[in-house]
Amino acid sequence: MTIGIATFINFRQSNFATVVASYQSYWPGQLVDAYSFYPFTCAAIVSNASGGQQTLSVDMAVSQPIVALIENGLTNSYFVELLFYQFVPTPTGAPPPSKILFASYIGELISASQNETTITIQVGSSLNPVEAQAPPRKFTTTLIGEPPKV
Amino acid sequence: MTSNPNYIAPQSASAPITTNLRKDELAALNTVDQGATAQQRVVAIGNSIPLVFCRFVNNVGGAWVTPPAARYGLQLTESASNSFSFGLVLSDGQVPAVAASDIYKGALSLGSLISPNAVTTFDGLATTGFDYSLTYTTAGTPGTPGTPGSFTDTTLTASGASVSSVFSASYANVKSASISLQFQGRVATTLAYEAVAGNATISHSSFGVSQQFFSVTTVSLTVPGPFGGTSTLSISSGVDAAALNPRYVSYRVVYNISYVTSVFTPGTPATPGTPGVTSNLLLFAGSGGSFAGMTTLAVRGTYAASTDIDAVKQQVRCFIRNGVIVSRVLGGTDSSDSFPDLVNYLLTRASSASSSLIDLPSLQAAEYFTSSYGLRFNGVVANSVNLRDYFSRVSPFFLLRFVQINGKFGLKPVLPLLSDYSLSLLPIVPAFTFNDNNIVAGSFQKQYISTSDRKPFCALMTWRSQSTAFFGVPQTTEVRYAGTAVNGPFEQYDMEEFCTTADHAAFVGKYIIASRKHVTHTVSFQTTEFTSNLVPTDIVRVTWDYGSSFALGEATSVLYQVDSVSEGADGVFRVEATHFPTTATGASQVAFDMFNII
Repeated sequence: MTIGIATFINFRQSNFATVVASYQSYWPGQLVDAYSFYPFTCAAIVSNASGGQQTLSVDMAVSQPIVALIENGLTNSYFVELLFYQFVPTPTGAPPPSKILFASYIGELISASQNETTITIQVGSSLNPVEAQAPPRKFTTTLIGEPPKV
Repeated sequence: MTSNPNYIAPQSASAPITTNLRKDELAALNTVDQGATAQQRVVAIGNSIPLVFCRFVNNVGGAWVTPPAARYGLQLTESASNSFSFGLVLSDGQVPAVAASDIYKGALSLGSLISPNAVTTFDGLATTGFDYSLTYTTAGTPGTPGTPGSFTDTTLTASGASVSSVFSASYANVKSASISLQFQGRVATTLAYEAVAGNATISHSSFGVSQQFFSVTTVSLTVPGPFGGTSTLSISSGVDAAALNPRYVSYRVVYNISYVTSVFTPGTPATPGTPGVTSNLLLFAGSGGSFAGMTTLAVRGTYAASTDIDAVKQQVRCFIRNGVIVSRVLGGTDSSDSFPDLVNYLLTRASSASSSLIDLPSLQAAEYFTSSYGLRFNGVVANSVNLRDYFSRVSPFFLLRFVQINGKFGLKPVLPLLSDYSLSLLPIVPAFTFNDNNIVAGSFQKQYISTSDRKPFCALMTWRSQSTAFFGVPQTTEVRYAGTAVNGPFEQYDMEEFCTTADHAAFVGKYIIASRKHVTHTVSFQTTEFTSNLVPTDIVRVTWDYGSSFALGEATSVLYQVDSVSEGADGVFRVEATHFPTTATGASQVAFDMFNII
């Protein structure tokens, strides 16, 4: 039996509730469950017990709307949601009436790079080595003024 | 050979002694007590703001801290008492007020000092009543007391008789006088005097003192104080003298007078001393700052003049019963000693992770589990460390794994639980079974764990022993299988940062040595089987048929604990898992040993 796997992607505002853009990469030119087609691929989703993967990369074809979306997302800390669906392809190639979600990933849009054809985004969390420190704050001049000299 | 992914890493061998520790690492070392009489340390720009995370419940928990000073006031004097006022940074976030009885200065309770005071403030630093200045006052010159004047006495006497009704004389510097008077009347028939009764008055003109006397009487007239100049003693005839019996033709007064004259020599006056001079010390007490979002503790007190001046500069330390107030994973806001609460707090505060990226149900389950076994976090997070590394390193000491599932961060127990969140000693039901039919051919790999990792050893579990009166000191609980590794080897596991009970340390130690003994290998494979619900720490069964022309019907069926699941768009799942040893009944061998063997 042939199994199809489709990847869906949502860009969400920092409040998480508002979806800014939604794409699927399997059915060209079709709107599937409010997801329009856009060519992109993504790496594997890893769930593990050693702190998790640092980032997940998504390659998207370069276009002005996508570049604008990503630039806006980097500025406004968009969330990116990836959904992997498994389904049985229909003889006509049309989207099936049902499909099964077998993997998902939620992360923050944390960086991007671009060449002539592809814009690659890195999806992860701010739980990366630079930003996320425990304890979270440092003594600064703003916070404690000029410290004693004794 | 490989290493057991479930291993809890022991404390590594010490690095060569170096002074090149990171700046905030040095600061972190000073956050815990270095001794009761160390000098008060001060904040340093760039160091981490410590986070006090603890809760004192049923006489267990809490944390001792030695907060750094952002204000350092000393008022030293050469001859009188010495005072201090320190503005200390207690913790990032909001910490409930610290009772004065939980605050110590050097070896003394704050309450034993003169005029002690302590004020806990969130979002600021108390200034009223706290003198954050650095001054030194010299002793000055003491004054000299005056000397009193004195008298040189001379006693004089006089006697005589007079018919006059008035006796008058002048005396200088009379201090006291004693006068004896007697009326005598001349009887007409005999012309002889005889003593008769009568009254007269003696008076002292300088003082207006008078005393009436009767007949043959000695009257003492005491001058009340020294005086100079001249005064007069006079004796009047008195009322009764004028009414003498007619048979007396005349009368006279016979007197004997004794008086003391005194020459007064003035004393010397007191001379005032010169006051001490106060000057500012050539030090800086600190200034400015908003103290936003942190809790400060202003402390003041005065030492008696006889106290060693170094004592004034000693470190303030305090026992924090209730640490930073956080949103608890089970609801409400309060101080907490829950590791899942700490994870939730740091994820949201340190990384600003959206709640959408936090697997709250897993944190809640972890909280129920850790609570049921008394695995609590009471400590100070002071050493700047990457959050992901920190959670991964500390979670196993609560028998948890810090996991990322579908992008969300959470905590999962290292061993299967029952519905009441206790460790399961029942036969394990695997979440999924893999076999030759759904494992991609050629993808199965089995790695045996190095024998050096499986040798019997003694786990030295270091934890922190403390009370409300004494700051924490490390204690070690030895955990080993009976009769093994009596003389080592030893592996040290440092839980001093957060563990305050021997039971907690021993519980984790049992897990460590049991898992090290029984876990023998790891596996990895790929599968096309639908495994979307598989998450790290799940238990799966792998049944593998070794059947071949010379090994007929040979197969194994082993349980594994999932370490990692990779789900790609190619539809192939990649699973990495660690051997999960079981008893004959199918229960967790590690859990069985923890409760029954070790």
